[in-house]
Amino acid sequence: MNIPQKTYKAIDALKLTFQASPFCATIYALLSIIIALTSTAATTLTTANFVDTAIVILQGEGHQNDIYLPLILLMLVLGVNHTLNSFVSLVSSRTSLQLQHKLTPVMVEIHASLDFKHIEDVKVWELISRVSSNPVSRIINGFSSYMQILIIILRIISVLVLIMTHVWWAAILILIFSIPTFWLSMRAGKKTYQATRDAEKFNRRTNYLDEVLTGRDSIEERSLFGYINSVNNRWQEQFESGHILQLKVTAKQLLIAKGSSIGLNSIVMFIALVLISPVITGQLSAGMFMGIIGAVVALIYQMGWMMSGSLQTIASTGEYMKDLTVFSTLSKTADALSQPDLDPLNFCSAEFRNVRFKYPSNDRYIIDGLSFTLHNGNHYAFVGKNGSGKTTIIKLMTGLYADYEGEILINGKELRTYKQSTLKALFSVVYQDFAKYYISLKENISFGDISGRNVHKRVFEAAKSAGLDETIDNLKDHIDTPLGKIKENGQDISGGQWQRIAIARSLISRAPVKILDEPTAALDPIAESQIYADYEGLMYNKTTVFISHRLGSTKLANEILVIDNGKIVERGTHEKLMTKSGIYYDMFEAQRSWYQ
Amino acid sequence: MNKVNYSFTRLILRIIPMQFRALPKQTIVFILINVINSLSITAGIIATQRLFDAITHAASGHLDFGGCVIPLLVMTILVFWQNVVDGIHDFYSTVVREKSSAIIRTMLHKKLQYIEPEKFEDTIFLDSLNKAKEGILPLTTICFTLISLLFFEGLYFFSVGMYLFNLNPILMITLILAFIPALLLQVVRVKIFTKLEKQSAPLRREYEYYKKTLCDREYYKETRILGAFKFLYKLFNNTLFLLIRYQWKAERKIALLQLALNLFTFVGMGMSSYLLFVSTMSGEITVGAFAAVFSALGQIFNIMFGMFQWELGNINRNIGKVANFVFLMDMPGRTGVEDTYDFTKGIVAENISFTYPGKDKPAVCDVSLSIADGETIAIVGENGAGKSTLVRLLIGLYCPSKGKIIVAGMDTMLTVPSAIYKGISGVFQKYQRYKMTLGENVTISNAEDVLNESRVEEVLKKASVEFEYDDVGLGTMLSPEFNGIDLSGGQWQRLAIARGLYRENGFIVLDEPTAAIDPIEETNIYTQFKQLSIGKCAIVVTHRLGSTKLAHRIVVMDDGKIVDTGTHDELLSRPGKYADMWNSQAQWYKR
Repeated sequence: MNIPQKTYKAIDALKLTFQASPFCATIYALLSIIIALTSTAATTLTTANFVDTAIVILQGEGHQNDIYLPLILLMLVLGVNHTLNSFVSLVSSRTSLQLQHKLTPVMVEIHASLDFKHIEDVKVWELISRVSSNPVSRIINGFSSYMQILIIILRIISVLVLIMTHVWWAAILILIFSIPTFWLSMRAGKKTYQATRDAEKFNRRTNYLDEVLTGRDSIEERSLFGYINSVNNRWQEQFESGHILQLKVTAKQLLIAKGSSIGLNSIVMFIALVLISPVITGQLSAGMFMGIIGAVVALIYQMGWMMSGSLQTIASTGEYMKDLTVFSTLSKTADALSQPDLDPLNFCSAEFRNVRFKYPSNDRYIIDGLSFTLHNGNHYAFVGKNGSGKTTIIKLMTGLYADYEGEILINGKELRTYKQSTLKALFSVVYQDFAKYYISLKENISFGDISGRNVHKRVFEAAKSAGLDETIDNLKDHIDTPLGKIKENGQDISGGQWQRIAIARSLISRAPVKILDEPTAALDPIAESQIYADYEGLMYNKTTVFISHRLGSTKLANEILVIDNGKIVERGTHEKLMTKSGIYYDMFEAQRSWYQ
Repeated sequence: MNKVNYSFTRLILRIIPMQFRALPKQTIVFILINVINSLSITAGIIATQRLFDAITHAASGHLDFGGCVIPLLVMTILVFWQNVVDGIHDFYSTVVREKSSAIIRTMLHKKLQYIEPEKFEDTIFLDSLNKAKEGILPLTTICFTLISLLFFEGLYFFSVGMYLFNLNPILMITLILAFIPALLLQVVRVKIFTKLEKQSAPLRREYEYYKKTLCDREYYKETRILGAFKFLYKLFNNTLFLLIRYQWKAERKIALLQLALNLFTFVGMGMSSYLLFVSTMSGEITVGAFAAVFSALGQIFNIMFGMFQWELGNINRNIGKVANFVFLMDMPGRTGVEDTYDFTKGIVAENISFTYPGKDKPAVCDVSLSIADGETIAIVGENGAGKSTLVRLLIGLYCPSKGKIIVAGMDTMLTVPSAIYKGISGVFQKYQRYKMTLGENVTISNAEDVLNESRVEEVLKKASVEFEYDDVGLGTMLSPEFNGIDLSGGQWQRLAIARGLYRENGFIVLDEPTAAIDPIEETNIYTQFKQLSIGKCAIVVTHRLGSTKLAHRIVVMDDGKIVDTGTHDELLSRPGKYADMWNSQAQWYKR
């Protein structure tokens, strides 16, 4: 199953479902057709037959036993109808599950291979969230709505055929009236999707305010500052606004559904009026009259709300498909899902030549003419104010973005010509907001060298170097304990312990270039000191890059680069920079002064 | 902590008054609408009967055109009326349901004011709170379902029953014949789906999580650069597969069951039709009545099934969450007497101990400490030493399990929290970045009082909150999610300090403020704090040992206890925790 790049329309809900589950979808369609035909025509005819036979018997012109055949026929038709209906719901759920089975993995794969620039672009991310939030139910709803429409159309046709023989013009009247109903419902459906998107805005605000009022993180401020009442008032305001918006939509929807219902009912009553004369003159049997009216009333009831509902769903599906179209066209990174190469490249140098870069939704160049070279075996420290672009440099160097100006050369070759898997094996990064995977401790660490062999043996060493011995001892299943509360027997650990795991990941990695972005932010001074000491031992033979505010760590580096406003403003050893009395000097002295 | 244990009846008796209290008028109107709806439908059956009777008479030549028109007219009006009432019912129930859940949610928000803050560190409580939140909408839905069951379905079956009884008492059996298979089906359905839910819920949590690691922003760049997709994808796929399998098994069982019961229903309908026929034959009911009831049979069976499947099933699915909500609302909270602060008395803690809920070891153990008026103390220690917990105890956020704390002359266990908090302000480690305007982000610390714009400007200046662009004002939204601007970590930190300042206080707390701030900013922030704490009781909790120079006195904590106090020079001259920590930081600056 595939979601290729193309323009998707509402009808694609049908196509995708048939693609995912051809057998079940076909059976569903066939059953729906049979039900449509039996529930109207067959039921009407057998009911009429039964009623007429009963009347004949009552008038003394027939035998009591004559009733059994019509009764059995009637029961048969009803029974078939009922049974088929339960089959349909079974087939429907199977179809839905099949779609879930085939579609979800595909969507996830696409989602995970997107170019990173889309992830950090707020508008694009919103679209991605909308598309991947509930694709299966969107598509299945579209599919079953089309089936509903099919059923209703067939029922209309079979009823029209029945009454055509008596009141042919009624058929035309019903058809003529149905068309504006169709059109109105479709339009209402589109508006519903859009209005829901607008109401979403308020929903997000109320959800956020609700989090502020009930969440764990804000408990201290919430209690001390005592703002519950005023924030709750704000919550109510937002709720009211969204509520009114949603109500307008609902009111419109209902007006259309009920309005068309009333309109169609008028036609039915008119038909009934016209059919009275034929009954009196004997052209139409009483049973037939009752059968027809019964069938038409039931049909109108269905048309009134089910059809407008289905049409609105189809219109909604159409809007969803617009989003899906955009989603399918989003650029993907080749090789995004690959594992790192088994054997990393021999690293010689990484050079930035006049690189300029800005984030997709921003105008400001966060990297503005950056040039530097990293040589193998050296230890670098990047320092600078927050927002000066340090983390962005790392993201660029590790190949997350391809849209930059200037050149980035790894071993003399342009970064963009390398395969992702090669870059992954070349760099090991511990970000400031490193990811905490709720899997076992062992697996968390072994993520640092996913392609490697005999990783498990080295996990223990890495854990020890990162100071995790005590943590491991205190866990129930030691290193195999699942972390976090996702699994039943999972255990929570502290922020500091997670930081050590991230460091262990870096230690176990065989990548020649190791980058650490604020690796000790969550650790206390003694622990931090220990980490620097341990890391120093393992930096041998590797190229390392530290980003840290704790300037003490620059002791480990043999070259320091000071970044400001997207450029390198100072460069050199600690001693050299101290003589310059520039930014580095100021920052270092500011911190050192505490320790004098 | 008590387990959520409410019987069904007790729960119903609790939520119905809640619903009435929330929206009394609207709930009554809803009842009326249901009554009218129900009676309209029954009236519809009677009108159909009259029409068909007329038609039968007309067919046998006993009635003319005019005689048929009147019943047709009546039926037409009734059908219109039914449509209108139905529409009003749908609209009204949506409106009231939403409004109702908003009011109930407000009740929850207000209740949380009284719950002890330490409960928020207990995962069991957080889980229960989550379920309670999920129980808000179901509370109204269940109330409405009960109303519906009583005043719609209940009244419907009663009135139809009366009608059938009137025609021929035996016809009541049709109702019972419809009732039994529907009830049976529902009972077994509930059992099967509850079992499915138990199996699937933990699995679904795992599935959602693995999906997150593959797609969510939080994990995106890391999963990519580590190359962890294959590993996590396998986990994801496996849980997906299992979930689908369990679901399919359950659906299959239900379908087979439904088939069997359909047979039963089918037989039931057959018998009902035969009963009808026999009654018609014996002349007890007219042919018109027969036709009317016959066509209504389908409706009766449908409503019966609908009632069991949707309505009762709905109640069953959601009653658990509603129980959590009621449990939360019934939780005892913190109470106390009113009082006023007097910071000349300082803050005194006598032999206090504190254990977090669900934990064995106390986080703070037998600590005695006093802070004099105008004194600044610094609390230092390793992670997990109990620093933040001690601070929370000292500001009255937590009540000690042993010992007592007197803040500005008020005993924290006897005084109502709002009185204790009145003179206290702070900048916490987890200071919040509110997705609100700049002005709101500052004034939120004193939201109940009147907004004082000049004071806001004043504190922003004092905290050196600066922006690159000139057009940033008090009304600027500070969140890209709501079309606002983004601030840097340093700017947020300063804003949090401004927030702390805005609130009038005689006691201020600064907890680990500079984790992600660059050195120059860091120095500025600590210097500022020194200024702001002059003349007040103040506590600084910090890792950055150099900043302890700001304080009059330093308190060293380890493993929940105070192991040393003194000035910086005193502590440094002694061998111990402080000296160790100092040296391990200072060594990196000795070059």
